[in-house]
Amino acid sequence: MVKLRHLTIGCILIAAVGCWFLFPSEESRIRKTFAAFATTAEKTGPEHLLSTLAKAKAFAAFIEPGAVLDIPERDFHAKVDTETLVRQMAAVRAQASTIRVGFENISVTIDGDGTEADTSGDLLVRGTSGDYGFDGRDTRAFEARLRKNPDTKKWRFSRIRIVPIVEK
Amino acid sequence: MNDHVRAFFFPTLTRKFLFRAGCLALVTFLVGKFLVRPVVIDGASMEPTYARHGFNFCWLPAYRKNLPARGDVVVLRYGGERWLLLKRVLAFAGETVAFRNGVCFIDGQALDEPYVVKSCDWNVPPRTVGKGHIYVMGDNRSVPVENHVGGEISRSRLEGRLLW
Repeated sequence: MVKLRHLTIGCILIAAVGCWFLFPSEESRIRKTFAAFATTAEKTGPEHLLSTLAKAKAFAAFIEPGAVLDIPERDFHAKVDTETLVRQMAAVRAQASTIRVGFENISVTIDGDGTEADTSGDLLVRGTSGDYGFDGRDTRAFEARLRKNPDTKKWRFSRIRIVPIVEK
Repeated sequence: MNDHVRAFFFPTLTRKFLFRAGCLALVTFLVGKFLVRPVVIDGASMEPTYARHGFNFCWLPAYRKNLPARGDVVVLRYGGERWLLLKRVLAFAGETVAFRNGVCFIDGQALDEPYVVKSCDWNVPPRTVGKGHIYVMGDNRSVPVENHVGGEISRSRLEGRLLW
């Protein structure tokens, strides 16, 4: 009898842990999207042109076509199509010797119907990119809106705003 | 070649010599990391106080414990660790800053700025400086305000002040 009870409790625990991993919450999916986004953006050393292009495409896949990017220090505030994004990202990767990206203190607020989410947090960047006005390491606050693709169930960025360092 | 000159350029790698070289490298690293950092001024935003292409040192411990005073010229981190801003502190958290016809007003009072030499016609709407922030601007206000990097910035970006 005791054995059966232990077996039942064990099965329930295993099932709960299985559910936890197999059916993660939407917030967990969003946080994983950030982690994957950071990994995709990283560059650790010299890379072949084709690899640069492939990684730029993989990076662009995280961002919806027509997403709004707002980067005040670059005087950039516009909707971007995938092709432009790939070109820009490839240029950044080709120019930078290393890029390391991380996200910290992410807060997630999911809309009522669970298809859109507002996020904010700190973006940690480390690398060297003279032409893009960056050298060393820095932490920047960001705000981003993500939208869930109804077909693939994947979250993608529909708006990214890097909070300006200096505001008049 | 004189023995002294040879000994200077080609020293014998004794234990004493290596120890002294190691100490010198360590002191140089610590001074460069925590006390002073060389900076080259690459921009005209602080003219005429600091000329373009000027060389100076940033005194890093300046604001570790103290806040800068109004009118201090401070060095701020901008893009990473090596892209820095050189600006003058105009206002602190809780104060309202505005520019009318080139004159800076802090909480409605005109600020006396003898360091602003070039004519300026800036008009910036009032802005209350947020908690943990300071308001900075350059001395060269002859450029349109849209092209001038300056305004409210986090105090955490304070790097230090120039030595001279």
